[in-house]
Amino acid sequence: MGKQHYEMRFAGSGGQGMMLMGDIMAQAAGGLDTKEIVLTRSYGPEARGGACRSELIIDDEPINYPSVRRPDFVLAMSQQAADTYWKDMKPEGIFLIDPKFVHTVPENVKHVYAIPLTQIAEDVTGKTLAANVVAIGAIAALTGVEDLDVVKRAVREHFKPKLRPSNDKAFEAGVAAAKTLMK
Amino acid sequence: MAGTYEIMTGNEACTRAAIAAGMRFFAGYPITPATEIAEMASELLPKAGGTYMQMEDELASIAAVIGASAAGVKAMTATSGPGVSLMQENLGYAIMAEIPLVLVDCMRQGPCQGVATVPAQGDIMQARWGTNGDHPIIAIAPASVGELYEETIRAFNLAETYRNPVYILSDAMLAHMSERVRIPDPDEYDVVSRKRPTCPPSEFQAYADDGTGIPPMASFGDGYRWFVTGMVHDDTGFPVTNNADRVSYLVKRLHAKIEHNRADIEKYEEYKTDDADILIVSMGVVARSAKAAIDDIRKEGVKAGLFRPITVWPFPESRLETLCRGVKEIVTCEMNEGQLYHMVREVSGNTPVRMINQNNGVILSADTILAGLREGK
Repeated sequence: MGKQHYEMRFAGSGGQGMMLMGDIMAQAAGGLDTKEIVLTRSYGPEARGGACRSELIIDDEPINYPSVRRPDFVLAMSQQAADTYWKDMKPEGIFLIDPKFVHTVPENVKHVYAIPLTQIAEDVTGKTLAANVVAIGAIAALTGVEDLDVVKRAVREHFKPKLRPSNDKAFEAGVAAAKTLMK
Repeated sequence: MAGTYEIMTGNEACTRAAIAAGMRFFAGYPITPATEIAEMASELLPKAGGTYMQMEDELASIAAVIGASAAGVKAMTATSGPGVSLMQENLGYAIMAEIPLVLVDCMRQGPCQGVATVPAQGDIMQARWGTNGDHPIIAIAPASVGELYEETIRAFNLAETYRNPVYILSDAMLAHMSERVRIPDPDEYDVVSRKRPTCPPSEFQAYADDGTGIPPMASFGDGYRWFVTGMVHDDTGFPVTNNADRVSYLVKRLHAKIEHNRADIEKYEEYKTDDADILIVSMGVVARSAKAAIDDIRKEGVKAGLFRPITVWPFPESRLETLCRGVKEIVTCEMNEGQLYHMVREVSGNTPVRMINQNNGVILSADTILAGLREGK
C-alpha cells in the first residue's frame, strides 16, 4: 500500500489534538515505515480554542517544498477550517468532517465524508478526548496512505500501556466507520 | 548509509547535533521560536556531563557562553531576532577576543518583537553587521532538519577552528517542523576542538600568531595567563591605544581568518544550474519553495536553476559571480525586503536582477515564486 506523494492537512481548534494526529501519522510513515515526511504546524499564541493545523507530506523521495500545496486529504474539525481549507484541494481529494463542528459543507468538494468522530469517541471510550484517534483510524482507512497495521502500531506506541485499550477501540471504531461509508 | 533515522523537529536536531559536536554548556533565555532548544538542552546536557544555565536575559546568556568557552568548554546559546539584537555587544566582544561560540537565531517576523510564531529571513544583515565595527562572521543557513543537524556540527567545528562566533540562521518554520532525519554515526563526522598552546605557561602569549593567523587558545584555570579584552590588544592581550600599526594588524588578522579560509568555510548548493537561463538565489527553507517552482516552470520550457548559499556569511560570491555571467536573468527569492538581492547585485555584473519577496510571516510559497517567474517571461 502507499502512494508516492501524499499531502494531508488536519485543521481544527487548539485542544482537539490536531498536532498529535500529525505526529502519529508522521511516525507511522517516517518512523515505522521508511518514507520521507515533512510535518509542519501552525497555531496562534493560544493554548486552547485558537485555529490550528498540522500539515503532513509523505513521499517515497526527498521532499522539496515543505508546505502542503494541493492536499490529497483534509480533515476539518471546525466550521472555520471547513470553510477555509477545501480551496486548494485536489479534485479527487478526500474531505473528512465531524458534523458536530461542521454544519455547512463547502459545495464544490466532491468527496466529503462526514463521520461523527467525537460522538464515536464518546460511545466507545466514554470520553470525547479520543476523537482524534477515531479520526486517525478513519483517515488510515479512507486514504490508504499507510498500512492500517502500521498506523495502528504508531497509535499504540504513542500512548502509555494503560491508555492503549481505549485508544485501540477508538482507532478500530474509526476504521469501521470509514469502511461503512466506503462501501 | 549507516546511521539511524528519526523524526525530529529542527530545534531538536540543532540541540542534539550540538551535543554530538561536543557542546557541554548552554545558557539561554526563552523566546519563541527558539525555546525548545533551551528546553532540550536543559534535559540532555546534564545527562551528557554538561551544564545548562537559565539566564536572566540575552545579554547574560551570551556573556555566560563566552565565559564557558574561555574556560575551555564548547558553548552555545539560542534565541530569535529580538534576542540577537540584545546579544550584539557581547558578540562583538567574542569576535574581538576570539572566543569560539555558536549562536542560533531562529528567525521570526520583525522588526522588533514583530510576530513571534511565524518565519522570516530578516536577520541576514543583522548577522553580518549587527555588532559595531568591521568584523568577521560566519553564518550558516540550513534548509532542512537533516541539514540543520549536519551544519550544527560543522558550526561548532568552524567556531573552534577559526576562534570566531558562528551563527546558525534557522527560522520559525525550520525550528518547528519535523522531518525524517539521518543521524550519522560518530565515526562519520569530525569533531574539531580549538588548538591549544604547546609552550610552557611562562612563554605563553595569548594572541601571538603561530603562523596560521589563528593563535592557540588556552583555557582559564589551566595555568596559562591570558588577559581578555574587547579593546584592540597586543600579543599578550593587554589593550593598545595609540598604535595605528597594531590596530591595522589586528583588524586585518581577524578578517583574514575567514577571508583566507573561504574554501574551507563556504558551502552552497546548486540545483539545475548547468543549462539555466534564469538563476534563482535563495536560502533556507525558501530555497525549497524555489526548487519546487523550478521543477514546475521547467515543464513550461523555462530553464531555471537555483544557487543556495548554505554559508550566507561568508557569502559564496566567487562561484555565484561565475554563474551570474552565464544566465539571462537572476531572481532572488526571500522573506525580507531584499537582503540577498543587494548581495547578489554586487556580483551580478550586467545581468539583470529582480526579486520575488514576501515579508508577512507566511512562507514564500512555490506557487508565488512560480507566478513571479511567469510574470517575468
